[in-house]
Amino acid sequence: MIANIFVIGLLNGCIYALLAAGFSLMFSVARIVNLAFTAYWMVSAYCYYGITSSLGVHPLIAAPVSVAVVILLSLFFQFVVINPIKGSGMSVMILSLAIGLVLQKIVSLQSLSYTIVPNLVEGTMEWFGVTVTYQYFLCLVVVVVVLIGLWLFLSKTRHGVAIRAISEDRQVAGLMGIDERFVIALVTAVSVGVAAIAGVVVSPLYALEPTMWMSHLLVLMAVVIFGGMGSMKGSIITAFIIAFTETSVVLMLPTGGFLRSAVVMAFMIAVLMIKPTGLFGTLAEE
Amino acid sequence: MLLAQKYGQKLKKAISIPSQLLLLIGVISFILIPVFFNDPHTLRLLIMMNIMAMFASSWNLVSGYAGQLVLGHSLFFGVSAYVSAMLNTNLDWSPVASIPAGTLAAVVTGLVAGYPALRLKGIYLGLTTLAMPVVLSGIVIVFSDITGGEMGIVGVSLLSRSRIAFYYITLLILALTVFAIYKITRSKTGLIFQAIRENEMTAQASGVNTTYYKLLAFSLSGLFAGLAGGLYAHFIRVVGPSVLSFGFSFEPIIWSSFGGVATVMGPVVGVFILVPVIEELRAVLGENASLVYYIILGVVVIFAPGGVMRWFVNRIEKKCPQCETANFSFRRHCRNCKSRMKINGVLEEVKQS
Amino acid sequence: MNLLEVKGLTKRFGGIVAVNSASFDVGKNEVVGLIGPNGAGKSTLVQLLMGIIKSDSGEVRFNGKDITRLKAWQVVRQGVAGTFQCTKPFLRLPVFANVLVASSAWKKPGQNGEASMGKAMSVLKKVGIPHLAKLPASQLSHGDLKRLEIARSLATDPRLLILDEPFGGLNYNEIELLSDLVKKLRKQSEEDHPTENSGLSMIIIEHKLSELMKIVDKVIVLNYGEILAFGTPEEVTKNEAVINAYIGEEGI
Repeated sequence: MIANIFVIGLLNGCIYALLAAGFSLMFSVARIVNLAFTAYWMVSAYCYYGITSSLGVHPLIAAPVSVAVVILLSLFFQFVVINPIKGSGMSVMILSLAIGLVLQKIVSLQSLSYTIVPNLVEGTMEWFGVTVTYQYFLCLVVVVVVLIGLWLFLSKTRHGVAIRAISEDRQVAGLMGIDERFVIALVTAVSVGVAAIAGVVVSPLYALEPTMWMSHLLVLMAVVIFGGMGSMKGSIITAFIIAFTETSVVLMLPTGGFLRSAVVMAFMIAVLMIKPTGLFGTLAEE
Repeated sequence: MLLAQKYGQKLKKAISIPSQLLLLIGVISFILIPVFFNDPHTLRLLIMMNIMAMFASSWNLVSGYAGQLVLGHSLFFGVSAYVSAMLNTNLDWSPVASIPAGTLAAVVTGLVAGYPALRLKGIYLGLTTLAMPVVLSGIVIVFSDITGGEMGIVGVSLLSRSRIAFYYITLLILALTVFAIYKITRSKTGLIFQAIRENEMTAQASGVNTTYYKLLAFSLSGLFAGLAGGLYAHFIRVVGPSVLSFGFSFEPIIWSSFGGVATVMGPVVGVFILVPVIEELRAVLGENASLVYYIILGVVVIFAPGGVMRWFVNRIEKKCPQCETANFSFRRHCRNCKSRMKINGVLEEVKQS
Repeated sequence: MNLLEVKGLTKRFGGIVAVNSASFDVGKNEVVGLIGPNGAGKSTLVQLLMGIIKSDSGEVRFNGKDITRLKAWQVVRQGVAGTFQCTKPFLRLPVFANVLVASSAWKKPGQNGEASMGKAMSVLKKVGIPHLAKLPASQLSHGDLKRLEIARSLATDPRLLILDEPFGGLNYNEIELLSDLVKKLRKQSEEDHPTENSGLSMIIIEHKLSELMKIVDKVIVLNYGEILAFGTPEEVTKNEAVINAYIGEEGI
């Protein structure tokens, strides 16, 4: 049982961590709550499935192609729909929700629900007494590599530093001559790219479903709020806390499947009531 | 005679202001609709519109006016729907008693849900409230003996067997709700709600007991959402976890934003347009309906960010530049002070000469 | 008995002592200037008085009553009103509504809705912006916003008015107008309220010393959270510690 919780929780934690890192990057820079974020993740998983199974393209080519497609899609929505109405938080939220629902609809028109995607690498092994596929390990490795890559990008490259400058202080960044439009495009591409990679690696391990972005959106919200909006380190740590809690609930309680979101949410409310800025948060008030 | 004259004058005044004339036409046509269309399907749609308009208006009060972002508004609706359904099926309470009881439960829920608002702001508050109906639906699953779990509570009795009667009941309650909200927003309370929305610190520095007014906003919102939830339970006759769902929480936000946030009629207009539209789209397009629906929604939010109602009223109504009286925009001279309505009209004449 | 009595007021932020054991008092109808270099703790001190932040230790008595632990809105109802350094109006509400909130937020004895409206209009007249009443606050100029802020504070019927840098960011003409307003308020309160339980005292934080010295009775000099000097303008300008710390640089 404990081994099961560990193995499944670790995978979910990794996926949540990737999504949360991207989401919190987008929030801290663009200051928008993009509800379509997990929809991009879902589209990426389906895109990868579509390219490999219907077109018969090799997975190693299909993976970068799906990531690129999803990034282009997100840039399209960002600049055609979200950017023109800058300044109104509520409208952005509704529009991004509408985008997510439109994407869900388009995907569900194209393919059946509960799709199973073949593994990139075949084979299984025993790990803590649990049978685990190689795909699972591949997934863990990719997540770690992407997170490290993201960290290096933000701390070592010129563009990464510009992004962080804007998230710290928009006005000063503007004075330093950083082009905000370019940075928003870059941040959208990077954060959605991270979500898209998560979608590609996870697709063989999850039973895909066009509505799966909704439940992940809810958890993702809990993760970023819980960890402190805008704190990437906090989000990643919280992603694992929540993933393990959730997995324990699902595996240990008889009706756990229905209760997992409720328990996570109750947890989140409790934390916020005690510490309104989240566990690692800094941006409580604007 | 004198009385008739007085009301005649009032009426004449009302119909020369475009937005009021529209409202009058709207009210009369919704009173008359069942005379012309009384098939069960249309009546069902109309009743749902009335209930959802109450629900949307209640969200608008707490989030649009008082500025307390609630993303889990289905909580209040759901609590009332569940409480009145349970009292009705388990304890045989009549709907006349169970709906007020459910509403009361929603008011209390409003006070509880308002508590986080004393410490949290903006998106933090929004997500905390978003989480609340999720937690409640978890509780519903745990106590499935009395809540019916996944399947929900079935066999709730109807408030009224006649759909026409049901329609008029809901229309009346909607009218009372809208009137109450109108009165609140024009009162000191409404002013203070908006002050808190604009800047809580300044409101406090003005001597406003923000704790009291925030909780008041939440409980009033709970009251109107609770009424909607109770009526819903005794109309649809089934209450399941779907009334607490994520998607349902976003409906009042979508309707209100479409119609116009922080306007009295905006949420009602939003519901009265969007609910029939999605229904009609489903009938015509089937599966693809929601795709078209969300695209329509997106286009409206982009091009009329203040909502369709403000957009439309701005088109048909112009304020006189001299005396600020509202006029039909086609009028060339103000009905009050007779001065010219268009200033740029003069400029055009100058250009032509 | 003085109107405001502050004893040993202290506030720490983390390791930094923002206000260290400040003690002073403000008499009835007195205008007190609060000066000091940037970061001296002036704003923190008045925010403590206004109940916006809570002190770590010390006591604030107003009109004989302990107001140290009261919430901001309760302090306002006791008769202490303040303006913010950066004006924070209700941006989307009309100017009149901005003031009406303050004049009607709670019912003063014997006051009805009409009276609140009248009060709101009269304070707008007093600060000289009645013609802007219908405009949304977001359309006001910086100088008018400062006036609106004062009008909002006055609408709460304060006995102590705290002005946090009222001249900040204003041009010379606007400063002239505003300092006239302060003088006018003061003169009015002396003329209108001869009784024991009325009148208007003021605490004014300011950088522009030349303007301030003309309108105040007493000056508090704050440096690194500590009160360096407290006395009449003449006394303070002669105080050696003050000259060394602050005034010497400005060359008064």
